[in-house]
Amino acid sequence: MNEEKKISGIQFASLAFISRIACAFTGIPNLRTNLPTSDRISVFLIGLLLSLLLALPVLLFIEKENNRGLQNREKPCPSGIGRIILIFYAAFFVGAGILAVSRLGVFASGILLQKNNLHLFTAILIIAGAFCAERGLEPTARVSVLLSAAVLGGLLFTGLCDVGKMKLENLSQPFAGNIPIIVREAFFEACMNVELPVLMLLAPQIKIKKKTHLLLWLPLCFVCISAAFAVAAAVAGHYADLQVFPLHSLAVIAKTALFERIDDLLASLWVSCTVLKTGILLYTAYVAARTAVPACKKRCFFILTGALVFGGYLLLTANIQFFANVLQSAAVPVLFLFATVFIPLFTCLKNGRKEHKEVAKQ
Amino acid sequence: MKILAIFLCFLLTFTGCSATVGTQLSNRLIIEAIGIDAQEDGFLVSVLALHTQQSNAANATETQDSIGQVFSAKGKSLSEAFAQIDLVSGLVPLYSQTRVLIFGKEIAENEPMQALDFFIRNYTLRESILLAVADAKASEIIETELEKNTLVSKNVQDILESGKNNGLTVAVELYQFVNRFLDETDAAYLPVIKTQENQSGKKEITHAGIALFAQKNLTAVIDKDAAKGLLWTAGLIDNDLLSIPFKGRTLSVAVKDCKSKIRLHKGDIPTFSAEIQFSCDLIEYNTDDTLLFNLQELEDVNRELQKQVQKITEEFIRTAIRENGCDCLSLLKKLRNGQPAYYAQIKDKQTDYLKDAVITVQISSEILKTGREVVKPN
Amino acid sequence: MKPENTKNPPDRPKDRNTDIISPSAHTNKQLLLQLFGNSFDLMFREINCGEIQYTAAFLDGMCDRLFLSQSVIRPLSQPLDCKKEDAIDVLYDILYEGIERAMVSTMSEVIQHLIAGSLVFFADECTTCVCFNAPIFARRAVTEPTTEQQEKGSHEGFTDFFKDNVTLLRRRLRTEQLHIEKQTLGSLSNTLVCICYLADRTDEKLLHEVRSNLSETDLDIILGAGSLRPFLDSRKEAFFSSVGTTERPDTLAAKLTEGRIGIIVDGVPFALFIPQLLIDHFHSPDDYLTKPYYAFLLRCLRIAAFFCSTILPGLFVAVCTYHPEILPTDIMFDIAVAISQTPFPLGAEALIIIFIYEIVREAGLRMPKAVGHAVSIVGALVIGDAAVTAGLIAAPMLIVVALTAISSAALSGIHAPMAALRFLFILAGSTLGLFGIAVLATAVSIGICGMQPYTIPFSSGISPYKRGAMRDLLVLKKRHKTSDLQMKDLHF
Repeated sequence: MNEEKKISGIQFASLAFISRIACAFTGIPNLRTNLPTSDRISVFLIGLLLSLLLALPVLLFIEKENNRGLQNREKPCPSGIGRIILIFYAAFFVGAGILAVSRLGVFASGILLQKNNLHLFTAILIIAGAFCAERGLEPTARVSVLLSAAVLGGLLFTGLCDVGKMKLENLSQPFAGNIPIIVREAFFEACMNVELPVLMLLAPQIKIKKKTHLLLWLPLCFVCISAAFAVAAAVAGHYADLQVFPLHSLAVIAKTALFERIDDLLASLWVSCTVLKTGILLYTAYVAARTAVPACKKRCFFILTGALVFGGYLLLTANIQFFANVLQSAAVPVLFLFATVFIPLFTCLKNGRKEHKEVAKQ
Repeated sequence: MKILAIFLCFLLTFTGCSATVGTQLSNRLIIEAIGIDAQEDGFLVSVLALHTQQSNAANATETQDSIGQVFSAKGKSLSEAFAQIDLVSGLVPLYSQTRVLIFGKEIAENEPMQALDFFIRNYTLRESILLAVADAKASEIIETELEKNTLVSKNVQDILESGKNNGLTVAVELYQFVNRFLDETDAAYLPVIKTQENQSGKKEITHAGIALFAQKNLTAVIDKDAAKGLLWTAGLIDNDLLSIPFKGRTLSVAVKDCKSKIRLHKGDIPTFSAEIQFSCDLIEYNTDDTLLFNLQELEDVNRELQKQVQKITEEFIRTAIRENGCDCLSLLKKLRNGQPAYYAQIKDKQTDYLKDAVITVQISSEILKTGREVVKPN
Repeated sequence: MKPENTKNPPDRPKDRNTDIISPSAHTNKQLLLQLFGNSFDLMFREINCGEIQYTAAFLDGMCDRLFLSQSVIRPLSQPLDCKKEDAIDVLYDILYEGIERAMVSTMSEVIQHLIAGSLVFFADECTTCVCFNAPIFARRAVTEPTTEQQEKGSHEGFTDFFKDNVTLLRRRLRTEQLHIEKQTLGSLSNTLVCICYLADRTDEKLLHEVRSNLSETDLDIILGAGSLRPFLDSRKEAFFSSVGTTERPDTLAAKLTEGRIGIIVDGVPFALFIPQLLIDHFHSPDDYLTKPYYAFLLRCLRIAAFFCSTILPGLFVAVCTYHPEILPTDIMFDIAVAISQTPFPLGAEALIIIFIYEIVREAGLRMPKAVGHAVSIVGALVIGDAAVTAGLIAAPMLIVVALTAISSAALSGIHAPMAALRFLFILAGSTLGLFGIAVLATAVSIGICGMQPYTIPFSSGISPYKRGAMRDLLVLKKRHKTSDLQMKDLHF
């Protein structure tokens, strides 16, 4: 892995896009609240606005710290706090990896591999993710560009297959009495954007020509997901509300001349997205851990975190109720806000005051 | 390390560790059609399956249509019944190739969603599987012995899908039925099929109207004429054949490009209109002389056609909506989306509102071709 | 540049005393006899030129005796008027017309020249000797390349003699920028290896790295271009090699214009070029001789053939075992009936047939032409017909493997990685279905994108995409210049 190689803003956007798409398409939308599928359109559109809002501290951090990232700042926080923060981020990303793999595990258990050995599948997936992380950011980002093109193509193809079956009357009125729930769901969805703290950590390895490129993935992702829910609602209506994975049902309904159903083909793409997502989360955790503990060896770290992710997956998916409770709990958004909002603002403020003091001394 | 991993994978493949290798296609029971009937304490499930072993043993030149096999089993739940079928056949069932799902009349009359739950949860089953209601028992349909090389499942599928070209029946997919069934306003509908003897004494399957479901149960079965009206009004038809009397003879037209649009006209008392548009070709006029049409006569024919269609649609509206309160046209849904305040007022008595709702039908048609005969000018 | 040999060849002069040339010609003769172990082809001739007596040594069969007798020995028929200690210098001066000659002062150089086909002259009271280079040995004429055939292009291919190959290259790049450096590799074989490059286009770092890698070559003999490959490949464990081979001088010339480095090995009709990129496997010289739309079609076909050859068997196994719902009922039923006749699981069947195909392919490469027909009949009838009729192999699987084999033949340059990946994809498909294939494909893609031979991304053109660098990735631009791609532009 050549750590000096930078990736472009577009490559990062692709990486973030497929990472977020994997989360959306393999997740259970009605896990927290049972909302009609039509309302999910509004959830993701509002979620987009909230996400852009939550991205501001990260952008501010990158701007103020001159793209040096948490680990490369010339004026670090007191080493104790700085180290703790970095270790927190390392643990945060490993936890996010556990959630991502568990989400796919639940999806796989219900849809993909009902009779097969799920643990073997998950183990292989984690090994592949660790391999991606070990290869480094640059190859992962390059593959993500190709994969995002494939995912977009797949979504478009599915939409085209289903467009003839759409009935606009299946869509219910937006905000039909569920506004607080919709906003709450949108907030939770916005708190799933683990790519924002990833951006903060990996900023020094990104060639930032335009800052808008860094957030390009947010509108693309959320609009795609909203559109997918819109098509699902228009095609299947109340049937989609019954489904645990309504977006997967959309792919099942899609039929072509050659293939009777294309859900398995699309699901393969989502599995690939999860592999890359796991890889990039483990890699970012390594970047944080390496800075906090320079003696951290790469291979050992990935073996250890891979094992941790697998162990966490086993724990989390042992019981679907436990899994649901974890995802419903306030811990997820709190940790996210801590990582994405509080720490960047705190760091900017702290460094700002330090600089101010130094200037005043001079 | 890599070699060890590859060696392990070889072991998994060759030693047939079944948890990872997967069920071979030859060990699958390929289910083509499923029939569900109510029993005293559960369900009777009949499945028509393609038996690959039997096909292989029979003859390599036999087509697949001659190797359908029917399996039946009873159980307190559908899962139990299917498990019994696994036991009898000795193969793992493959639901993904199922073409049709047929309910017996009793099931349709008593909460059909209970029977559908198994299929909605089963991820292998296609959501686009066709549903139908048997006139009596579903097992009778499944067990029908048709002419050689004809599978019941294929036959039923063809019959249902032909509806958009002949206006006699309708093809409803699983997700479409569930969507309508669960909606608080819509009435779901399913085609009804039955067996009868044809002229040569052999059994055949034919359509027998359309079953309407309102308030979660089978409400009414409308006959062929009303069924045609449903197809015309709801825009479920692409082509049809209409025969009208004209100057003492029968005149036939082939209808094509049929479109229908249901509109809500907002107001203090909202009304609805169904705008039906179609074009047609004149294909036959039973007369001894070769009659040349002029433009005036063509307009008369057009008017007669429109009257015929009007009659069909009004028959449907009367039977389904006025008499049975079945909202097959999603009128209340349009009202709910278009005028939610008014809908909220009438929500509790929506069926009554529906029965009295003003629904106008506007037909516009065009005769495109009249055959080889030349149109004589006036 | 001589390599630093870690092992000294046996019986070579090691210390200074035995490496210097003795002033006694007789002593030198005895030493040579001892070193060459009284080999029958080591011959000596005494030539008297008045008071000066020369001893000529040569290896019979390596030296052009006719040329030497006319151009060297005949002119020495007259007596020479010079001192004995100047005998070699005089010989060096008078015989200069049209003869490549060298003055050497050590016995190891004498041995090298003898092996290269030179006639070596010793004289008494001289501690130097002169070598006249006139090698002659049986060599092939320039013929059409056997592995890279071109419909409308040149029909000249490399030969086994490096000088002929260099000449073929020079004829295509008539520029002083074409630099060719010669070196000797292999402690026993002393094989001549030439590094070729265009000085104004090649990156200095790349050149330096290639030279450095070659200097670390620690081999006794180099009998083929493939012997050098492990030393030049940047990642030895990767599936794809970053060192390409070509039998065509025009292809090598085109690669050199892109800033790559060519290596010509004496005794091998293949040249190496570094670095090789992934997209090179899907390009053919014929593409530039046809219309762009047809070239585009051919390239798409080759890329499709690559995926077909690599992934298709695994995909078939995965779909039929785990995802039969994807297939229309009619096709699925026909496959199910065919599979029901065979005793093996689909994954095992796929591996067996692919294995048999690889054996047949290997037999086709190695067997004598006389028995070629017999093997074809065995392969076609036994495997193709009898096995299916007997119910050992399913016909659909055979069709898939046949398609795989044909696709593989379209891209024979990367047969090795395709064969290895094919096995892996079958394993992945038979254990985890489409999702196993997806995970493996992702890992392979990461591996390919992570390959950076000589700091140039292996997947350049596809990823990272540089608009100008790989303009003819799929579609040939009009008035395409083969030199639009430059390795310098692809560095990180």
